[in-house]
Amino acid sequence: MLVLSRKVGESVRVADNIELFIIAIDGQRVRIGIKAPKEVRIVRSELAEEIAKSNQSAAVEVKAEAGSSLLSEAARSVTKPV
Amino acid sequence: MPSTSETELGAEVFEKVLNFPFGIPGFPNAQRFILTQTEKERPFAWLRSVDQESTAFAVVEAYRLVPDYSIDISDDELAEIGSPTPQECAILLILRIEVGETVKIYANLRAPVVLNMTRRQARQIILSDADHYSESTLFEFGVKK
Repeated sequence: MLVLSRKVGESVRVADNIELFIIAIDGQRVRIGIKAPKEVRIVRSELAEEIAKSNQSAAVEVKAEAGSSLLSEAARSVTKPV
Repeated sequence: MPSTSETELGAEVFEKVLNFPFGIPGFPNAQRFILTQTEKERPFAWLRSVDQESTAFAVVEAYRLVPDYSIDISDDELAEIGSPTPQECAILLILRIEVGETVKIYANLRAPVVLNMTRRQARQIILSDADHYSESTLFEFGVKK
């Protein structure tokens, strides 16, 4: 891993088309600006963990009888918004 | 590819193995799934894991729940599922459904499943922070008696 020291207002360039700016530092918090082509997907690293948790809470044990009628009940109701 | 996919899931994607070469976050060993749907369940469907047999996700095509749902998928990401054309592409949302007095559907708009219906390859994409979609958006419906 490459580690660089930068001051507020300075930036780092990654390849030809990505630039990271150190905008502000406030105690433990660093604000970073990122200039990148729009096809480069930028997410906070902890988000992958959040999505994994979200998937785990969405996963259903389909063996259970309740699970088998869940979608038909939902389907019956969707025509009728609250 | 700017994509607001309004494809109708065709018979070709049901009851056949769909490959998730990258797995599904939280389920690293689940790389093969089967979509099932009964007439009564439409427009919802089950995405059932072949590798972890008891595990399934309730899913729906994104446009059914969010008609203006629109995501940007890069060519690189599409290449990972065999570069589908917009017509070959379906976008599914993973749902958490609670049936009580009302039906509450929490949809993960943040991480849609993009499916290449022809090649039967899919992956869950995590949208960037700039897209402002939440991973738990509530849709509430009344129950028809």
